[in-house]
Amino acid sequence: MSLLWKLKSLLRRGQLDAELEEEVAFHLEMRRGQLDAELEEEVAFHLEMRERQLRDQGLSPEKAQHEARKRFGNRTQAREDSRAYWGFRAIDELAGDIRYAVRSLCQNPGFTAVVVVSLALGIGANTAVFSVVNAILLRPLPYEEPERIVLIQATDTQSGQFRRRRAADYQAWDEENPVFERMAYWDTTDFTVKDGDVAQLIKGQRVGASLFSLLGVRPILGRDFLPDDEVVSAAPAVILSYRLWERLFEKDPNAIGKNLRINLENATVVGVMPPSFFFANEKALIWVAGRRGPGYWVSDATARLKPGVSIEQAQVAMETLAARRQQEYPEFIDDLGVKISPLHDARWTGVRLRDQLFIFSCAVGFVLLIACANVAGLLLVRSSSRRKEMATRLALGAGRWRLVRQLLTESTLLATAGGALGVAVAYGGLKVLLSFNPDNHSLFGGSFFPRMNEAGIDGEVLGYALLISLLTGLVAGIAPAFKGSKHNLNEASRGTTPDSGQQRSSSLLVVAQIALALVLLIGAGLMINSFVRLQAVDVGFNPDDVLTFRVDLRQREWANRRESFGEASQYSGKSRLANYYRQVLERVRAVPGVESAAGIVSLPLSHWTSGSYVGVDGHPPMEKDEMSVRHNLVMGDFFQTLGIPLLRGRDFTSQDSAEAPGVVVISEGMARRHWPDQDPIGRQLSLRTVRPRGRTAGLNDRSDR
Amino acid sequence: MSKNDRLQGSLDLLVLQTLTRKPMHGFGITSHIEGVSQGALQLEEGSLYPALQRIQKEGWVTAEWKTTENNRRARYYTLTAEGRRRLELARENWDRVTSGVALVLNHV
Repeated sequence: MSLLWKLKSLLRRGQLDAELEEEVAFHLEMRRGQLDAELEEEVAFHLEMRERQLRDQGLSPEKAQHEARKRFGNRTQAREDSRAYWGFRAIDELAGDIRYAVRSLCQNPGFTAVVVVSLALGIGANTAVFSVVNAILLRPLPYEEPERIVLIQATDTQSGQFRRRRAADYQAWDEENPVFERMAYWDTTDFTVKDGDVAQLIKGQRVGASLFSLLGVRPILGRDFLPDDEVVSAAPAVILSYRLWERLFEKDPNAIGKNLRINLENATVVGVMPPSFFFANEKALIWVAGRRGPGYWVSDATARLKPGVSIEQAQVAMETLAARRQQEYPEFIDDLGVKISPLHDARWTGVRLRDQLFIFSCAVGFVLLIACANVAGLLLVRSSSRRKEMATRLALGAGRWRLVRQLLTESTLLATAGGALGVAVAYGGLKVLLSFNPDNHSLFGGSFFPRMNEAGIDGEVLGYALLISLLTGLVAGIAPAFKGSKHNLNEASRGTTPDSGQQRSSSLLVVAQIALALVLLIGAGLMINSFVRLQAVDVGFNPDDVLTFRVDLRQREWANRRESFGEASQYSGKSRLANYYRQVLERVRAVPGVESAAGIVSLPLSHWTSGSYVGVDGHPPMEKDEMSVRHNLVMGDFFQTLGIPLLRGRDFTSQDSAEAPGVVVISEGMARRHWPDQDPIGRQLSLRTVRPRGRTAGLNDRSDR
Repeated sequence: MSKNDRLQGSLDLLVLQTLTRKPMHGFGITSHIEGVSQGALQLEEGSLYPALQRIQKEGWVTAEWKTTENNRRARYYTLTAEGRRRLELARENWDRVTSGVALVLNHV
């Protein structure tokens, strides 16, 4: 509110008055002063010459002066007509209107405050939402000719779902395709980065060497990836984000060529990207050049279309290539499809954020409309109390259009003040909005993160705020202006009963306002309802007071496997890996305040869960769908930690070690599906990806979600 | 030119024609028109100056401050090439209008 007080006190002192005029006329003032002075001098010269001439003809000095002035005519008129040619008249009148409007609004501070605040809320909400929409939807991606950049995703031809592919598939396509200038695969993943003694898990991307040149972004320090970086024998090359460079090397230019241990390999820093650079995921801070040999599984590829090639043409060409690749390697590849989409749109796949933003924009648009109706109503009431003033001005010869303009100036001034306050509202609102920004609102498993954090109050947003302020001033002011300027003198002098037309427009406004408010109310009610229901959904476990963290030894395992099979390594065996995790759990349990601890491969409700086909002894043959189950590997007191009740049978115990026969705990849903009306405890089943056979040990409640 | 005889553009025509001889100041233009028309045309002097501003803005004349023979500062207006062309057009137009008016008046 301090801004409002400041505004009000400014208005009181009439400073705004002077400041506005100053701003409008400042750069013209000098020139205009000069033009005025010159005209004045010219006219004085004219009069003097005429006087002298008349005196020469024998008139007395007084008579000569009088006659000269008479013959010259209206000097003020001459000056104003001249000014019109200089182009100042419009500015003069506008400045006059603004001055008058400021004065008249200051006389009515309560009215002014109410109007400004309600408009500020409407404009502020719209400005905040616009800045988000602008950042996410409207602003082009910060790459060279972004419209030619596409996303390539491998799909399952039958289900249409996205699939991870071997990097080699994308590399083959890169060489064979006729439609792309360049193509590079990429995959967002976590890297263990060891700098000195400290190891950190850092999100990054494994990328094809041509990714950055394809995007048209160059490192600000060092070099881009080169084709040689893809050679298997080379040390892995990494490029750092500006932020990571700052964090690890304190912006030291000598960081180039330094070594970093990444996933237990010695990698070389070859470049640093510009501060604003991101690709697909804003949290990716490090880029590692993928190498040809190991056959990584990657999620996507990106390519730049050749000039003149359309997305549809690319789609057709790539489908042909996918079919050919499938024929070449029928034993490895089945159902291989491919989907090409513009990179700009790709981030919306599977996410209905665009629709949500649209609904959001409509909602705040309604709020502004309601504010407009509100203000229009107030202006109408005000105009009926100003009937005498308007009638007087009309009687004094002001044109109707002049009065309309005056009233519109007033409403626009109000809206502009509301807009200024609204920007402050937007600034605050944006902070709240950004704090809601969901981390996982992203496409295919957290790899694409919209640029919501770029939303802020910048030039574009201020321009938008100004535009909607002016528009609001017009929309809210137009009807009251025309109504307010239409008075006939008789009525005004007789009394102040509002005419029926005015009452009609007031009630129309009220009806519109109520209708809009109702729509908003219903929308908000539905939203709150679904929010409450989401909150009330029973996820099948109790997340209260449960903390999670990640330890990732996969890279270690891979690195060991790759480096040498002969060399004995501490973590090379699976049992050693299990030992390691067991130790971690024991140490965590020893931390004061920890009640229980458990390990799990992927957390409940996270994006990646493993699936495989299940075989059940003594069960008739099943369809693929029916056989498919989601499973998870757990250790420690998993069910106890998450508060999942055990319905029958037993929990895992420390006796269920790697050497013991495999045991599983199944969900109630699975029990119903595979052993209807039977006791599943002790039954045999087989899972394709875990240990070959297991026996059902327990049955728990609804964790099949 | 008297108030009730203000034909469209006639003031411009008179001013431009007057300036064909030499650059002049505003009072000079007024006196010249009065003198040559033998007092038949009396300008409403106040309207001359806005007209001069307009004509200047159109680019038909340029203005500059000079000293008169009596050592007074005065603004002198000079006809430009464009002003000359404009004068030609305005003259033709004027001739057409006056001969048209004459035809109507002389028609019995």
